[in-house]
Parts: sequence; C-alpha cells; structure tokens
Amino acid sequence: MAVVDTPLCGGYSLPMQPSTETILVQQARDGEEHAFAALVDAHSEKIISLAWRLTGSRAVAEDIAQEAFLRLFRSLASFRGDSSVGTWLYRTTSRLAIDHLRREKIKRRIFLFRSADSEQSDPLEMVADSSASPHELLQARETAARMQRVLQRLPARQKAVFILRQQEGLSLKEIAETLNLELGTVKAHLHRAVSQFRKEFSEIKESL
Amino acid sequence: MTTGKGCDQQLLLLYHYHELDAEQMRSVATHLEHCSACRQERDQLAQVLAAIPAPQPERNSARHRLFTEKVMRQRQRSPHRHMGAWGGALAAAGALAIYMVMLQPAPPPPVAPTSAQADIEVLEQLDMLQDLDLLQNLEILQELEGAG
Repeated sequence: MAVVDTPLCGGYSLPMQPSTETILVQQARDGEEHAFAALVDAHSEKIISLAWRLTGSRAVAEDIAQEAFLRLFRSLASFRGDSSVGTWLYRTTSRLAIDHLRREKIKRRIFLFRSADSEQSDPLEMVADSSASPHELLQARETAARMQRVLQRLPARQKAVFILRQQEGLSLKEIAETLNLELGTVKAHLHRAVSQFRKEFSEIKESL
Repeated sequence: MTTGKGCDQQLLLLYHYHELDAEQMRSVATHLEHCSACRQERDQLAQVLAAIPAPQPERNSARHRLFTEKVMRQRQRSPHRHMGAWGGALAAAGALAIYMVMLQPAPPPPVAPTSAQADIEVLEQLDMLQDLDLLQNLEILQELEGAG
C-alpha cells in the first residue's frame, strides 16, 4: 500500500500515522495477526459509529462494521492504497449500510414487516439543556423525536448523504467519491433531505 | 426563499455548508446583506439543522475489545462465511421466487416488471445478505406456505 499523500476525508480523523498504517497493512498481508488486529482496533470505533448513525441500530452497526473489516481482510492482497484504510472502510461501510436500509425497506414491503424500534438514544439526551424549563424540555424532546423519525424515513441514499455531510463532516466531493455518485446527484440528495427536515420543522412550529 | 432575484434555497444550503467557491461565497454573502428574506431563510436553516439529533455511541472499551476479537475470529472463518452468505442469498432468492409464483397463479407474463419482481431483482443484486435475515425470511415463507 502506497503512503497516503492526499488529504483524508474531512470527517475521518487520522487514527494513526500513514507510515504506521502502511507497515501494518504490509504485515497483515504477510499474515501477521497482530497487525490486522491493530488496524481493526484503530478504526472500529469510528466505523461502528458511522454504521450506527446510518442504520439506527447498534447491533446492525456492529454486523456491518464486521463485514467491512472482513472485506478489508479479503482485499488486503489487492489493496493498492489509492485511499487510506480509513477512507476505504468509510466507503465500504456506507455502501453496506445503504444496502441494508434498502433491504429492510423491501422486506417491510414484501412481508409487511414493522421494523424494530430504533435503538437511538433518547432524543432528549441529544438536545439536553440543563437550563431549559420542563415545558421547553418537553418541546425539545418532541422536536428531536420528530426530526429523528424524518431522518430514519429518508431514502437510503438521501440519508447517507445527509449523515455524511451533517454529522460526519465529509465534503460533498468526498461524499460523491465515497458513494460513487455524481456531485450534482449528491447536491440534489442533500437538498431533498434538508427540504424534508424544513417541512417537518415548519409543521412542528405551527403546531406549537 | 423563492422571492426576489438571486434568492436560491439550494445556493443558501451550499453556502451554509461552505460548499461554494470563493467567488460564489462572496456573492451570496453580499446578497444576504441586502435580502432580509434570505437572512431569515439562512437563520431558519441553521435552526432546522441544529434541531436534528446527532447521536454519539457511548465509548465502551470492553465492547470495543470484544468487537476486535470477534472480527479476528470471523477472519479465520472468512471464506466459508462468504460462501455461506452467497449460498443463502441464492436460497432466499429462490424461495422468494416460489413465494411470488404462489401469490400470482395467473399465468400471463407482464410486459413491464412488477414492483415485486423489481424488489426480487434488487434483492438478488444486494451483495450482503446476512444469514440471520435469510433464516428469518425462510421461516416466514415456510409459515406462509403452511398457512396457505
């Protein structure tokens, strides 16, 4: 794997020095277990976090992250290092998560499944403000819950684009590369996603 | 924000995310100085985006260690698991096809693919079908076959 000479994704902070990573990849390729374990250890938290945000389930997120690492392992021999391990994992995880979301949607349509309740944290905790009154806290909880529902219902790609931009801090160009989409398509997905949030937010404001 | 010349909601969104080139950023900033509707729109956009929860998984070093160990164990079984997943995927696709035939006994083939067929095609293309999902689907199919 060549040393990474391009900037990493805006939202993907470097968990280790590129030169260290290059050595670990080479060692893992040579069959040294500790090297691959070190790569998993360095990236897993970030990758699970991404998958969790995309799918809303910790268990599913771990499955997806595991699959991404296994794919990395299987790809070691052909890993050219055009991107860093982190960027490669980000890309693979995003695509796996989108596949998962689409599959879930299809399953619900075919089998009339109701998806299990999201394991997302209590929305109140995410907007916690100790100085807010009980009434304001209640409103904040309601707003956060409704916005969360909008997020969960977005089409898979829209959701991925929005999360990668808003929560992971990737640039639109990086998102286009990660999801293998045209830049214009990414902009359109982001615009549509934000429009959904705007609409919901206006309805919430009107109902208050 | 659709009123007035130069008012563009998508442009404001890109401005918010600093996704415009320097000249466009300056142009939008100048426009904002003179357009109260766009300023209001920009403020509301910031409010909307701030209201969307951004969950952070809690840090748990024990769970983190277990995850690494699990990946290392799976890594050794990786090729078998891979084959199993593909085998399962084919089985699921086959079972779904049978189920859809049972649902649609009328023989005339539609000219355009139905939405159910499209769903199955998408399923066949998805490259990560988890074993648990497959088992769950197959169990339900068997139950449906038994019931009907």
